[in-house]
Amino acid sequence: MQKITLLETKGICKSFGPTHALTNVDITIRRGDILGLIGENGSGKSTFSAIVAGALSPDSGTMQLRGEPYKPSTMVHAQSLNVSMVVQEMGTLPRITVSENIFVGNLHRFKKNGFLDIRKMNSEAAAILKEIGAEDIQPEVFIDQLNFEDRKIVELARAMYNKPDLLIIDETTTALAQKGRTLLYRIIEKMNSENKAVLFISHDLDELMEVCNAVTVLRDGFVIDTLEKDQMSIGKMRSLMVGRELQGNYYRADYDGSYEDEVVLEVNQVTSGPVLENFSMKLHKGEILGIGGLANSGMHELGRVIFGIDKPITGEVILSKNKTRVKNPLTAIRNKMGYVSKDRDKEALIINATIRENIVLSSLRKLQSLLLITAGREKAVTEQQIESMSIKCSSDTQLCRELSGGNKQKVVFAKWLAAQSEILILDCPTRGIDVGVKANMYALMNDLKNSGRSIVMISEELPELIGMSDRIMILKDGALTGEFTRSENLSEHMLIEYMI
Amino acid sequence: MSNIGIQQKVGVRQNLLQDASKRNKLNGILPFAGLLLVILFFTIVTGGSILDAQNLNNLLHQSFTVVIVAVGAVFVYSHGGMDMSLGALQGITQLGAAWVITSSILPPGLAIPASILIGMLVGTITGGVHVLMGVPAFVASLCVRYICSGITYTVTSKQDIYIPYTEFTQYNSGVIKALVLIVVLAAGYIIFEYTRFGKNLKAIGGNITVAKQSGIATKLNIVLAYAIIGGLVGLTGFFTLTRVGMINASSGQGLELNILTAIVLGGFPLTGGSASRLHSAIIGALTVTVLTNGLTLWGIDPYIIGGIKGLLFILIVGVTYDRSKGKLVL
Repeated sequence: MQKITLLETKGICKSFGPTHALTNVDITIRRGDILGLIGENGSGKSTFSAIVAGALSPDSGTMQLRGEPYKPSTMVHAQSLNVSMVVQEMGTLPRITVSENIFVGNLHRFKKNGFLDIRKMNSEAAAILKEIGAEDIQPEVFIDQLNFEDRKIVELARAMYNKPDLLIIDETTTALAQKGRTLLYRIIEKMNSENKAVLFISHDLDELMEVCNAVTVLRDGFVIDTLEKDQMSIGKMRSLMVGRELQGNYYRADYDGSYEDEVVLEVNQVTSGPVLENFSMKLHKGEILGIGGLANSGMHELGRVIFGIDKPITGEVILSKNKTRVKNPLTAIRNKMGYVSKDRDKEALIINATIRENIVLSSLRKLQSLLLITAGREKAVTEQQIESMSIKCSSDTQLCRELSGGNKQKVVFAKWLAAQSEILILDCPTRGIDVGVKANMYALMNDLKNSGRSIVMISEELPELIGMSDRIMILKDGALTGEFTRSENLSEHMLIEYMI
Repeated sequence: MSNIGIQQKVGVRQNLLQDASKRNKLNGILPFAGLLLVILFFTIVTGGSILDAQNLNNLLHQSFTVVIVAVGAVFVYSHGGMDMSLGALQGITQLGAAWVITSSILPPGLAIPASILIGMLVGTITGGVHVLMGVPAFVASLCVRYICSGITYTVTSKQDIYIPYTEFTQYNSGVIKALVLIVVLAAGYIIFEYTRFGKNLKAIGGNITVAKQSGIATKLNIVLAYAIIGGLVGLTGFFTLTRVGMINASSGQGLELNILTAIVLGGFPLTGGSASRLHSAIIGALTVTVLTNGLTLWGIDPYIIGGIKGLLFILIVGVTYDRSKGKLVL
């Protein structure tokens, strides 16, 4: 069957400073397509979708929608032309209601005698939510009362309310649990049956295999290939993305699970935040201690307390070496601790500063002599980290916001390695990072372990916990529910039982 | 994909790269071009009298205050702060200096450290209120400004204060002022670009959460920044007093607007962070001085000059302010 072209891009180029996110991208989306867009971090997927959705404008190149020139100036404009997007990051606006979020930018539709007809707005919002199968979300509640997943669903409702011809979904499923996914797949199916199109961006290749009828592969901003349904296989997609064959397993190969007897850090009866209560643990030299659980199990709060960001309500965190109590990040860093926040762009990296400024930030004390810090010493430290971490950049003075997600994360790691951290608290260290960089990170963690450093790895990903940890502690509602030692027989099922 | 195809694509990339670096260079040159343009413009409209020896001497005296305080402002604006108390603060540092000079017990030489200390103390209060009580810097400094100008107003309400300024003519020599300028500029440059303190401030301006998590004592650094600008305001307070010889309720007025305009005209980012450069603030300070001086020579009413600077400020901020942030949301 010959499909009708819905959207066609020709020669799209976009650069951010010296970084080229996209170069001459030609992509055709036909009616009835569920086109997967894949590529490693930094390959240009999000940039491309942002351009199609009107959030960014291309440096050069043209687009045609339904055979007519298409040049959206904003996302609202694109939406009025029936192109909608659900973004990767949180795209809802805080402190306003669900229905205001759904109709944001279009509130004028509900104007009545110069006032906002809230009742009409809420009833329309309820209708949309019902249509996409989320009638349990109340349109009049404030968005802040909803959990992460439901906020994502509100974004979906916003994207769907004026019946788009093209729906762009940018790595949304990672934020969704079963309920949200089912809902999303149903929407995709419906779009397909109505002969509309979906552009679907995901890291999850299994999911893409299941959902999409074609995938386009991007690498370093170039279109590498487009695979039709009958050509698609996970191995093929992976090798096209990376540009080389990847070995199956990138976790630790050993099942040794040993560490030294020396305790480096103790958490004693700590209560902190809304859930974490009377929690105790010991971290040993040369140990990778995995902490698992659901997002609200208290494990993220645990990481913050250990590093001294939050003060515990009761209890204490003690560095065994000199019996120092960790009171704030400064004492933690002085005692060679490092912390990688799960929210990289907001808490771990100054994205508008250079790679050099970020990498030396925790080592400034060590770099000064006679109170002065010369550019030469900073550069030397940075170059060494860029080299050993193989950070892809044009120079050590490139701005971090121009880097891809994986390379940004490498800069965060490099900051703590430059500070010679002995104890690393890693909160979701591989979140939103592609396969290639993930493999690097795991190898690095293994090296650190073997050189006698200690790691607390907080993660929501079970394969990663099982694959990397010497010991795993599972938290539920702020308390320890299970503890496992490294073993070949450990399965995700065994862990999940203790999480829920 | 053929090799030729890749080569073409690499070619496209290089062109884009060149465009981007051209744009960056242009943004760096703009403030310098602005200064030259202002000088050129007033040379023409004043028939060259802006560049005669007498006026150049005036320019030195006038730029002295703005440049020195701009050095202090670098520490405040680089971490994302703001100080609206500067003019009123200069007023009370002058009061302090005058009090030492006219007292019969204290040696008049103590007037310099006294006005610097008063400035640092008030700066510490501004910074302290800001970080300890969580009041935005704009509001905290505005309150301090009214407290300061209230004090000056009360003290000078009966009559203006005069000092025997003929005894201090040595401080008004161009040579002394040039020396002080050079020392302050050099020290400011070294501290801002080559010490942990300067780097900490840029990090705080870039992202205060990251700065905290990297072990920076953010509150201490911020308070110190306000103490420094206060001290430098105090230094200029003394020199202003010895030049003018009197204090009244309006002493120092308008300094904060001059500094704000200097920051913006020099291309110094209002949000602070990594792109903060000392020379931007200095270029801006010189531009503001020449602008004020030129407009006065041209015969424009001083009140209208204030209005012109305000308009210019809005224009520059309007053209250069980075609105791209948050555009992705909707």
